[in-house]
Amino acid sequence: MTSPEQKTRRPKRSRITPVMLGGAAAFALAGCQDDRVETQVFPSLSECQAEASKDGSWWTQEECSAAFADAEAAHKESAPRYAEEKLCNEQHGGACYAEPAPSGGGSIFLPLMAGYMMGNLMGNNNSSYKPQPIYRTSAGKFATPGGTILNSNKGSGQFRATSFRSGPSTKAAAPMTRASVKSSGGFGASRTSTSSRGFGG
Amino acid sequence: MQRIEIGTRPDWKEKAEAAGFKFHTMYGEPYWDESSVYEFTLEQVENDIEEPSTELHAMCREAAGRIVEDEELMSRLDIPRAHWDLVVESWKSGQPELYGRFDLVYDGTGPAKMLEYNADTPTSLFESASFQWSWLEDMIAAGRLPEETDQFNGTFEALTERFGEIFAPGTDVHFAAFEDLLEDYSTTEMLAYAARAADLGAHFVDIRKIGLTDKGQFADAESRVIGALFKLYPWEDMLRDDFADHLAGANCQLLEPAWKAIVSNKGILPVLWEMFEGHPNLLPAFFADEIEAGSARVDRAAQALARGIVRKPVFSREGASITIEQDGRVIEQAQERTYDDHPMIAQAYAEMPVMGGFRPIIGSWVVGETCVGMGLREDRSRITQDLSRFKPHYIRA
Repeated sequence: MTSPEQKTRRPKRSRITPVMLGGAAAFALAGCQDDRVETQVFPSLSECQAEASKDGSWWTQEECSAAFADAEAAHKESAPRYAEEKLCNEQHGGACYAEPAPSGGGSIFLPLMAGYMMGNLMGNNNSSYKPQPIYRTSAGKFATPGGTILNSNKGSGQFRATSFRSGPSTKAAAPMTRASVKSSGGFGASRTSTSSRGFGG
Repeated sequence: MQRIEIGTRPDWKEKAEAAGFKFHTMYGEPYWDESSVYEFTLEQVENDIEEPSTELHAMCREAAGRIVEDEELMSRLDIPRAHWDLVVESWKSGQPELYGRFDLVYDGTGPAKMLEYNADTPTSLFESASFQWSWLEDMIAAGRLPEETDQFNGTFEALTERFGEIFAPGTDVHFAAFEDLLEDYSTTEMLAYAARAADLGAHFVDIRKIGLTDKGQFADAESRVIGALFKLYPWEDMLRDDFADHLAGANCQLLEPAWKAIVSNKGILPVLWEMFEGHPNLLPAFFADEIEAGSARVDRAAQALARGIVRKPVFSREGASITIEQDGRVIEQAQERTYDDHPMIAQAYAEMPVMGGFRPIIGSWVVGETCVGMGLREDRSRITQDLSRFKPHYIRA
């Protein structure tokens, strides 16, 4: 038997490149949120696949399927949910279905997907921009769970990258969506200390 | 463990400036000081610092599990009663922790002694995880230290890995601090780099600019909803702020989690001593009134207490309001008395090694539940305060 070579132990320090303080590099710039994304909207998976074979399309049939699956997952996670069928129908042009309430007993109601939108994220691997389901609205338009309004459920256009952010959960608005702020400055009074040279230790 | 007069890199100041490390000198005194550095053996680092710190963190978790079940202890730690549920719930639901830093007294022999656990808002992360790392790389490249020289500094990689465990890729995390406090801000920047390396979105918000939406969620200065928040701002202050009532309903994941209000509290020291009396890495510690009242446990610590007693408020940063007594006489006390009004604990004094006229303190970094790195500060005084110096270290080849 040979004993293992002891000299090749793993170093106790990270493999990193030095970082720079004080620059914009550490934190994302707000402006980056506003990049435009080339977007396709389809009423169904089959329409997406039919278009994929045509000239000038930037997507493939496989991408259609993957995007549809993502949109369905987002639908399950963040579709608007209603306690009353009547209200759901009013909000979504009558296209609602029921599912069992999570608490058990009774049903809750949610709109059928009226299609989905997918962005051309070539060269943009930010995985937070997921394909989104769309629903009919009471005004005869279409909307994502995140609140992006579309005139039609078929077509192409330039959308803000933020249009692909995940939609709100039923409880609260999703991170990074713009919201109306009613008050601010409620943190920072630092009441346990009378000095303010720093909060670290 | 030795203090080696190794000499600075000739261009260290330019390198510090180029890295944006503007607080290398503070209040006219050096803060980053590489003229002398600390040398360790691998055994010292692994057996005396790394393993004990990981164990201490596990013990602190055990103590937290006990304190959340005990109303008297929650009161002694001065955690506002209105927010007990928030703190307890964060523990019981297993909210994950990101990082912390133990302050240890160690002289190269015998067990390191835990002075306290900066488990909520530890700073000095940039100088420890990044600038110290570059120092060693430069020294090896210049042939001033052998190629095989190492450093206990897996902190950055571990933080990246930990962010990846806590959040799914693409999650947006806000980082809050006081933007004008350079040291605090630099620590959040360092964490933001680690978060981005884990494919998360990192956004800064000044803690004073956090707003509340009409749905009761937190929002940043641009009115964007905050779903995950790292805050370099102590839980004891957070829980006393006007927005504290909104924490429970904000649907926001906080780092550190609220139960760090217990672990970062100096009141955990007497609880640890009660649970693990005689543990080699602990110093005897008591709530101040326990020591006045006396008990069998106090009697058993008589010898250690006779060497000196350190009085610390349950909340304190940078050594403020700490007093050291020997034979009933004050031998040293912090000038900063800003935490004087809070409940006090008493800890047996551990004589600190004096090397080259300075007293080193080891800061051991815990990420998740594991010790992954260290950094040293030294001070002429027994109380390590904001004029202490950060010192690089290496592990002898």
